[in-house]
Order: sequence, then C-alpha cells, then structure tokens
Amino acid sequence: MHNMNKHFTFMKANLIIFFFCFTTIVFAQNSVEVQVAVTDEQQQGIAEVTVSIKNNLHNYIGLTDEKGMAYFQVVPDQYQIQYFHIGYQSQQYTKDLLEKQMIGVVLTPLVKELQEVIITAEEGKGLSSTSVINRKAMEHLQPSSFADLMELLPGGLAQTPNLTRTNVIRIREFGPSISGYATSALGVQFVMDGNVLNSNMDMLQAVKDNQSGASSRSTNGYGMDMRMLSTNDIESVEIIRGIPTVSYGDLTSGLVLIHRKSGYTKWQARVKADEFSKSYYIAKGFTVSPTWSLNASLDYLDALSDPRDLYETYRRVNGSIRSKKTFEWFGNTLEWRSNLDYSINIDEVKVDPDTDYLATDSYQNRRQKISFSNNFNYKFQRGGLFKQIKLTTNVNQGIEDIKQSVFVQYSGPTSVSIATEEGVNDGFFPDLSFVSHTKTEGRPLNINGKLETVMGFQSGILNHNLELGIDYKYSHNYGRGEMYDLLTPPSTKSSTRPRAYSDIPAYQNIAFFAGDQVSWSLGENNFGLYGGLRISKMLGLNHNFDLSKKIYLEPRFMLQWGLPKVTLGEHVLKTDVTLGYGELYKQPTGLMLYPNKTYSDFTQLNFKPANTAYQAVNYMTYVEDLTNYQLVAAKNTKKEIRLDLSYAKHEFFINYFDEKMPNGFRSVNAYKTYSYKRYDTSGIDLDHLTEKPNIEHLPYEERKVLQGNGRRENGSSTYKKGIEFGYTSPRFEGINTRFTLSGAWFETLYTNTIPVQEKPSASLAGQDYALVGIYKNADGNKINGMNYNLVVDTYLPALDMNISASFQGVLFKDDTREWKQDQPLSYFGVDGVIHEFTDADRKDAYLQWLVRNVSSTDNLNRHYTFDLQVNLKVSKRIYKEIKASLFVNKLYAYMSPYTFNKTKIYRKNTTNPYFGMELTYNF
Amino acid sequence: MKKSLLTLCLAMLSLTFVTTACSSDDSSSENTQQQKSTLNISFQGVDIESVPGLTIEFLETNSGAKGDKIITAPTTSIVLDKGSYKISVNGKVVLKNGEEVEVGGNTAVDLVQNEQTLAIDLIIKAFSEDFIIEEVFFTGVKTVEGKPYNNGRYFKLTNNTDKVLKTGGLLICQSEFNTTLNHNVTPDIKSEAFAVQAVLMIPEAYSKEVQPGDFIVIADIAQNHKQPNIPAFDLTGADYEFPNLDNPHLGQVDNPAVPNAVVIYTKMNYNMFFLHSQGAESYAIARFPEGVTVDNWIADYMYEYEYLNKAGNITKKKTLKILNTWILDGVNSAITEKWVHNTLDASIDSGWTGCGKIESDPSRFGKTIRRKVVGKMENGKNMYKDTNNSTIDFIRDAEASFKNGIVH
Repeated sequence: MHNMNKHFTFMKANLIIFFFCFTTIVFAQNSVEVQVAVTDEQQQGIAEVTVSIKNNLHNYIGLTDEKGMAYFQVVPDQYQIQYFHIGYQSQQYTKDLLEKQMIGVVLTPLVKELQEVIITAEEGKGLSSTSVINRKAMEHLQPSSFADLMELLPGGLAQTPNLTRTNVIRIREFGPSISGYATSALGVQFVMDGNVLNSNMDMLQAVKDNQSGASSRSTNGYGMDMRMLSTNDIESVEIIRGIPTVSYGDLTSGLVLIHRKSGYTKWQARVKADEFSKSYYIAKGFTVSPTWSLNASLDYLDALSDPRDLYETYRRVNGSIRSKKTFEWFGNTLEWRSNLDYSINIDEVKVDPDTDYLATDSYQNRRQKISFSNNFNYKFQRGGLFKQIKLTTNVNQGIEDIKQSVFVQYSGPTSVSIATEEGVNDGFFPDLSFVSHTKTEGRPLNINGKLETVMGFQSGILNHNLELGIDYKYSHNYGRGEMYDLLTPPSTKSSTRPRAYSDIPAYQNIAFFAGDQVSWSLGENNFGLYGGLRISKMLGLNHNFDLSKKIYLEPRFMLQWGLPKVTLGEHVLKTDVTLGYGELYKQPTGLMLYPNKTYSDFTQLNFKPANTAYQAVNYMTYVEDLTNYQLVAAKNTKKEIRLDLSYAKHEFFINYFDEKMPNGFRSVNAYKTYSYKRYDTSGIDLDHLTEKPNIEHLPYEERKVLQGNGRRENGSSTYKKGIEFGYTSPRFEGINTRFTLSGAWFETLYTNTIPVQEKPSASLAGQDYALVGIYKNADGNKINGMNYNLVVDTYLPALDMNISASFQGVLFKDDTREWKQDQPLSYFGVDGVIHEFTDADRKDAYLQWLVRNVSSTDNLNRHYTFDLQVNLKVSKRIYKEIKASLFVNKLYAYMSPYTFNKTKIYRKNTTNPYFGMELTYNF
Repeated sequence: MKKSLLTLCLAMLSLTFVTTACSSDDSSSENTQQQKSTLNISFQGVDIESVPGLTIEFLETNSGAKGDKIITAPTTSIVLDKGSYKISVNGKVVLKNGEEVEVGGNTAVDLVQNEQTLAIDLIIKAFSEDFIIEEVFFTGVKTVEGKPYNNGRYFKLTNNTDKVLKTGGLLICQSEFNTTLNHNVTPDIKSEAFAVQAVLMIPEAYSKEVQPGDFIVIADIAQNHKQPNIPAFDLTGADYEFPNLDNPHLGQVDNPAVPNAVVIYTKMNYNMFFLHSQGAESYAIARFPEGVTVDNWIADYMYEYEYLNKAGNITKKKTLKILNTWILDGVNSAITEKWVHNTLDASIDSGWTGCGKIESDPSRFGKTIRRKVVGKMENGKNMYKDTNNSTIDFIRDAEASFKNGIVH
C-alpha cells in the first residue's frame, strides 16, 4: 500500500511539471488485494513495468518494483489488465478480480540480447541501401551532435567536431575540395518523426558577410546544419543512401529518417564534456494511461571554437514534448502523435577585449524554431484492402536574427552612394569612424502536410503493398530581411541594399505519389519488386519562371531477389541481390529563385577639395536583377546493385552505385558592359570656387567597363560512383569480441557544365583589362579514394563494460584536377561581340593576358597513400544505473608519405587527439 | 714640407680657436681647466691627400649651443665645453688619386675627459644622376580604437643631385616578390631586371621641376588624414596622388588640387595599387629609356616564371619587368625576423631595411624607412647617404617626416 502510494505521488508530481495533470482516486474500502509478479523468460523480475487494471468504472495503475512486483487494492469486478515496458512486448487480457490473489506474467523481451547489441551502423536488408543507427550505437559513439554519426556510414571517418561552423552532410562522397558543389548536401532531406526538417525559405544571411564568423555559419544552399540536431532524444536513425520510396521527394542525394523515443522511460540524464563542449540532457517518458504516453526532454549544449577562446561560442537548447495516444475507432486503431518542439541555436563572436581596444564589434546569430506537428495513423484490422491511412502535418515557425555591430573605420576619406534605384545620383562623404548596426530578420514559416494510404491485396501469387498519397509543402519568410541605415553602412564594399524577405513570394510544392511493392515466391526464390512514381509541381510561381510550367516525374524501381538458401556445414547461407533505379529532384530554394539585387556604384565625379562646402560626389548606380528565370530543379539519377550475404551470424554486404546529377546549382559569373561618365574637374579654378561643380557644365569622358555578377545556374555536374561494403562478425565466444569492417570506394567527378567567364586580373596602361575570356572549365576535379574502418568491440560481462577500438583511415586517395585549359575558347570586350581565340592570339600583346596560368602540375594527379588513426571508446556501468563512458579519438595517428611530381611529401599529422567523457544516469 | 705647412696651419687654427674660447671665458678663470675638454679630431674612410676646406659643426644637445670651425688640414684639435655633442662635417677634400670630392660625415660624442680623440667617418657625396627614394611610408597608422588605417601612405622622392630635375615620366615600381618569402623561381632574372606587380607613372603633362635637395610626395590620397582619433598625416600638400575611383566598391576620393599619377600596370583589377602594410617588398624608381613607351613596355617586357613548392606543386605566373639599367634607385624592405632574400639586385641595393621586428608587429604603425642625412648641400638642403646599401643608407623604424604636414 505504501509502495503503491509512493508510486502514485511520484507519478503525479512529475506530471504536474508538464502540461497535463492526471489524478487517480484510490478507494480502499471494500477492496481486495491483488499482487502482480512480472518476470522475464529467465524468471527474473522486471522492474518498471506499467501495470494497468481498469474497467468502465475503475482505473488502477502502478509500476513494478525491483523484484518485478506490484501491489493493488481493487474493488472486486471484472477488469482488463495491461502490461507495458519499453523493452518488452506488451500484454493485455481480461480477468475477474473478485478476491485476494497473485497474478504472474512472463514478458518477452523486444530488444536483442546484449551480446547481439550492435554498436556500429547496421546495413538494412530492405530494398533501398540504408544505414541504421540505433540507440546503443549512439550511446557508444558519444556524439555531441548529429554530425558525429556520419562516422558510422560506409566510408565515414571520425571527425573532431567543429560546433562553431555549419556542419554539412555528405553522403557517398568524400566532399569536393572546391566550391560550387553544395547541391549534394542541399539534396539530403531530414525527416524527424515523419516531419520534414529542411526549409526552402531559410534565407538568413549576414549583412556584412565577411565579418569574422558570419560566412562560416551560413546555411544558405547547404540544407540542414547537423550541429543543430541533438542525438539524445533519438531512438534510431535510418540513413537512406540509396533510393527512397516515392513517398519522399524534394531531395536528390539521400534521406535521413530520425525516430525519437516514444513511450515510457525512466528519468534519463546525460552529461558530456570534451575539449570543445559541454552538454546536458534530461528526459522522461510518462505513461499517462495504457494508451497515452508523454515524452519530455531538455537538451543543452555549450561549445567553444577553441578551449582557450571564450569569445567565439555556440549554444544550443532543444526542448520537446511528445504525446502518443491511441484510440479505438470503428474497430480500428487510430494513433495520434503530437509533438511540440522548441530549439534555439546561438552563435556569438565577440572581439576579445584583452587583445583589441574595441569591444563594439560583435556577431550574434540566434535561430529559434517552434515546431508543432500532429500525425495521425489510422491502422485497419488485418484482412481488409486498406492497411493504414496516415496524415502528417507540421507547422514550424523560425525566429531567426543576426545582429552585427561593426565599428566601421574607413581607411581613408570615403564616399558612398545611397541610391536604391538605378540612375545618376549624388553620394555623400560619411564620417570616417562610426558604429554600424545591422540586423537580419528571418521568420520562415513552413507548413508541410502529407496524406497517404497503404493498401494490401493479393493477385495470384503476388502480394501487393500499395501506397498512394499527396504531399504539400508551403514556406514563406515573413522576416524584414537585411536591415541597416544607409547612412552608416557596415562596408563600402557592400553591393546590396536592405530588402525584406516578406516581399518574396511563398514557396509551394505539391506532389502526388503512388508506389506498389509486390512480393512473391517462386520455389525457394523470393522476390520483392517496388515500382513508384512521384509527380510534383511548384505552385504560385511567376509564370516567367520556366519552373512554373514544369511538372516533374520521378520514377523509382527496386527489385530484390532472395536466392534459395544453401546449407553449408551446420549453417545456412542466405543470399539476396537487390537492384535499384530512381530519379530524384531537388527544387531550388527561395534564395536561389529570388536573389537579392546587386548594386554597382560607378564614380562619375569625385571632388573633395579642402573646403567642405564645395565637395561633391556623383555616381551612376546600376541595379542588377540576378533572377534566373531558366533555373530548374536539380536532377539526380541513382542506380545501384547490392549483394547481401548472411551465414551463421556473419553478415556481409557490398553495394555498387552510380549517381549522376548533371545540373546542380552554382553561381556563375556573367560579365556585362556598364557605361558611365567620368567628369573632368581639371578645368575648375580652385582658387575662386563659388559653388559645387555642376556635372551639367563639366567636360566628361564616356567610360565602358565590364563587370561580373554571379547568377544562380544549373551549372554543376556531380557524378558519383562507388562501392560500399560492410562485414559484421558474430560476437566470438570466449573473447566476447565482435569485428566490424566497413568502408567504401568513392569516385566523384565534379565539373562545370556551363563555360565560365573570367576576366584576367590586371590593369594595363591605366585601363582595367577590358576583355573577358570564355573558358571551357573552371576548377573541376575528380576525387577517387577508399576509406576503411575496422571496429573491434569487446563486451566484458563480469565488469559490465564495453570496450571498442576502431582502426580507420584512408587507404588511398587520388585528387585529379579536371584537365584545365589555359586558353579561352573565345572572348569578348565591352562591345559584347564574341571572338574566337586562336593560337596566334597567344602571342598578341594584349590577348596573351587571356591565357590562364596553368602549370605542368595543375593537371597532375595527386595520389595520397594510406593513413591510420586509432580511436578508443570505453563505457562501463559504475553503479546501478550510472554509466560512465570515455573516448579518445586519434589516440594514434599515422600518415604515410607520398610522392608527387618526384617530390616525396612527409605529412605531419597536425590534428590533436580529441577526447571526452560522459555520464549517463537512468533513475 | 707639405706636412710641416699643414701642422703650422693647424697650430695657427687651434691657437685662434683657443684664443676665442678664452676670450669669452675671461671672467671665470678658476674653473676653466675642469670645464673644458680638448678634442683631437681625425678623419677616416677616405684617403685624404689634402683638405681645401671642411666645415665642422658642433651641437651640444643639452644646452643647444652651436659652434663651427672651418679647417684645411686632415686633423684638428678643438677645445670645447664638456657635454654631449652631435658633430657633422661637410666640405671638400682632395683624394690621394688627385680627385677633389665632396665629403660629409656625422657622429656623436660625449666629452667627459680633459682630452679626447675622435675619428670621424667621412663619406664621399656621390651625386646621383636623378631622384632617390628618401622615404617610403607603407605601414599606415593605428587608430585610437585600435584599427589599422591603411590610407595616407606615401613615397617621398628627393633630388639628391646638384641639378634641377623633372618629375615627368618618373616610374615608381613595386616588386612582384616579397622579401619574406623566396620561392626560388625559374627563370631568375634579378641580375638584369626587376619583376614588378605594379607601376605608377608621373605623367609628362603634370611634370614639374624640382630644385637640388628638394623633394616630391606621391600620396595614395592627398587629403588631410589627421583626425582626433586617427594619428595619420595631413597630405594635402602632396605633389601627386593616386586615389582609386575605378573600383565601384572602394569609395576613395579625389583632391582636385593634386594631379593624379597613373597606374600604368598592376596585377589587380580597376588599376588598384596598394602598398604592403608590413613593407615586405621592394620599391624602385625608374625612367623608361628613349624609345620605350608604356605600350611597348607592356607588349615586350612580359616575365613568365614558375616555382615548385614543398608539396610538389608548380605554380606558374606572369607579370612585367623593369630592366635594372632603367632603375634610378631602389630599396629592399623586410620585417627583421622574416627577411629571406632581396628582390632587387645587389647593384641597386645590396642591403635591406624595413619596419617592424616580428610579423604583424603592432609597433610598426606610423613608422617609415628613411634615408640617412650625410650632410648639407651648398644651398643648405640635406644631402642623403646613397651607397646602394639600404642597411646603412636607411634608418629602420624611423619617424615619419610629415608628422606635422608637408613642409619643404
């Protein structure tokens, strides 16, 4: 009785903390005592099992103690008894409780045995190549953010986290060493509990983006910033490297499905500290009723760019309340999941007052997001045509602000234009020193909804699993955008003017999809075939955009053939072959469709004699609208073939893929001729000035200049191919050790598809060089390499300790520049007439400057030889539910020398070991 | 015979000097012996055959007391009040080879004993044919708020000859290479030409005549840069300026009263010409020879080079060059701890000077490199040391000469 009350009070107190209050009245009168004993298959008592005894009149709930016992006083009646535990299969039955009795029940565990716990990513066995990372793997890895999980993908290596800059995802590539190839990252979609996290209206950019800190924290055109995602709440992650089903769209390279914890848990706390950050986490899953659970969590991370630098910081707070309720509705089950999430990410950079005189310079990037989602899943009873109907809805509002304070001190007397429209205008001479305050306000609102149904039926030997649905995404940014006082601009170099994001039309995309997964058996062969089509369209676009008329079709097919099982010795060899083909599109983001206008202010008159009364400055301002109405979605075509082998708990897979994305987004510089007048003030009698010079009465010289502006184009081709592989051994008895080897060979070719315009950097005879060359290629390259990762993990049951060592690195890597031609294909001058560039032009005194400086090694392959790093991780249960873990990455590192252009290069391992530790506590 | 004559002259000179000194000290008879010191002066550095006339000037730095003495012998003895003296020598000597040359010398001495000897280094004042670089102010200043202020920089060129010079056609060249980094480029053309990254030219249209000993200032922006919070200089009196009005993002301004020098070549767009704020480069002044114009220089004097780095990469670049024979004067500048090589040939400058000891030395702001004064010209203007060795010709971390504006 005492025990039971304690539990009730405990539960109640906790619930009041949150929004829901639940009370139970216990009647002691006329009741009978019921003892419940819950055990596992080994007759060991299971603690913390929620036992619910209820009927229409009475409702009792309790938790088992450490011996697996729970005690109740119930009014004699017929009751439905339910048992819940996160690690065990639930049970439910009806029983008469009319007299004092003891009920025994045995629960079957859900999780695999500890020996089977996998601390690396598992390769999914399904139709699409997927890496599955479970809670145990994350606990062992001890991540600070989602970015750290990338180590577990085939070809992934441990990276020392850098939490003070954008962490971009790269799937199936080592990453380009050059810019212009971000579409691979942008085209990875993150889905958390069924709701898309990516926003197409994330437009936040600093007004002065060359201020320290500003440029490295932008997410424009990169998609998700993985450091903003905490891993503590995550139960499991599926990273679909291959072809996702047609239910998912607006992505090209990959899909990350994040599933958070749901249902009852103990209080969970985690404290992690490493060289760069400290993080704290607390969470609890409550069972309000057998059909209703609530999860609440709070997560805080405080990071520095360098342990010695207190002035560059990143802080992250995530809070979440998640409810899951099931209803019985017309004999079927309706599951309603409702999530309320809040996150805040603050980047701050401040000038160090110890080393700099001035303390006014600062940069603060504060991104808050409130997300509310309601997902309904109506599950039909078995046997019917309909299996389930799912409605996924999410509304999220970002409150994003960048504040910059820049102490502007011009390096000399300066003039600026404040024109906001094209034309001739008078500028002014600002003060030399002032503080400029700028602000960027982004208020992206995203509304995503998806309605889909799954049907199952049989035709002949074929089992169909049909999915049909509609997917709608809406984004609009209500922010006031980039703001500053034109009279105190943060920089003279700025080529933009303030603009409000709210003026930019909303982004809308609608998609219909239908896919059918058919499975059948032929003798001992099992087949699975998936075919699907996604049809999508952008809505609400100005019809000048080519995109407004386009309808995108994305066919995707996958075939899996389970070969007949072969018995070899005592065990069975299971073989599966999987083929896949898919077309995927990523639509351009809001900022790509609606770029900011570029302003060029050409000095026409600059007259600054000592007497301020007669000073004058005049500009010709050009406003360039850089909107590219021809911009279309980036397309990626994926092909893959995978072989899975399974024998006596030895698991092996090898996967060959080929992905072509010929039209990724990039900024392409295009030169245009601008004309302006340069007024000649040499004729003015300076000794007898009576008024400011008037441009109408001054002689002038007509000038024409070529100036380039970057316009967003579908001009980047990324061609990825490679082989991913992984092998997992069973845990060998005696040494209690498992070996996991994974790795990948990737070959990625990065090239530009639109010839580039380049103007040689030179001025000759007092004139800016006045020709622009059109060259076939920019700085394309091919990266071809292989990474390996061998993990040896040992579980010591006597110590309840898990030790793992990973030996990982690059086996080889070739970095080859795409053959760069030194001479242009053609060229043009201020008249815009394009001339062909001939070999004879190489010797022309003026045209020779168009020949780029390409040396004999620029097109030479650099072949890196192997390197190795050893990482060590230990986790141990130190007392009851307290677990301590520690890790040291790069405990040992070696980089073998390589030879390039007959030079032997000894590589110094410049990165230091990265280490940290954490405590987790379940209570 | 000659020797005895000299000795006689010297004796007579000493006698007159001592007499003068005594006459002024008539009233105080007792302490004379303790307060006076006899300084025996000789000269070294040049082989003197005879002395037609040398002026020795004394400046007692504590009291400001000045005195001078004209001598016609290679040694002399002078009685002075004890104290700290700056001594300068100017005049003419006949060398052992029979040549009569102008010489000059500077030194400082503390007179504490009753009798001291001093050997003054004499330097032959070789008149160059054209302008010399007297000063380059490349560091800029640091504002009160601690930010670097990069404009207000200048070149000061001086007429160190005894003729009137014209400024039209004068070239100011900035080295392609840094003195703090040696790539060991191929081909190495240093012995015949100077690789440049930018060249300024004073147009013939704005040519002016410069008197012996006078100077011209070529400022980046000829404005008054001095502000309450910016300890920069007033350069409104500059002779030429080179503000950049072509780059639409720089916002520089033009003083209509000061003619603009033309950037005839730069490796940057929009005619931009910027000095290295740590001065890790070399500067030279030159004139194109007869027959070389700006256009045919650009067409015919391309320099293509390449170099190998430690990672095995070859870098290829091109720029223009100025032949060493066109160069009037040049100076290598570097940070003391970072100097690696001179980018000018030793025939132009065999040494190097600069500002700052360590990389990004915060103490370098406001300082310049300045040529040492060896003496005075006949018109009283300064005569500058020019031995084609900037290590001894220049003063490192010198005080800028225009702290109080440009005064001729």
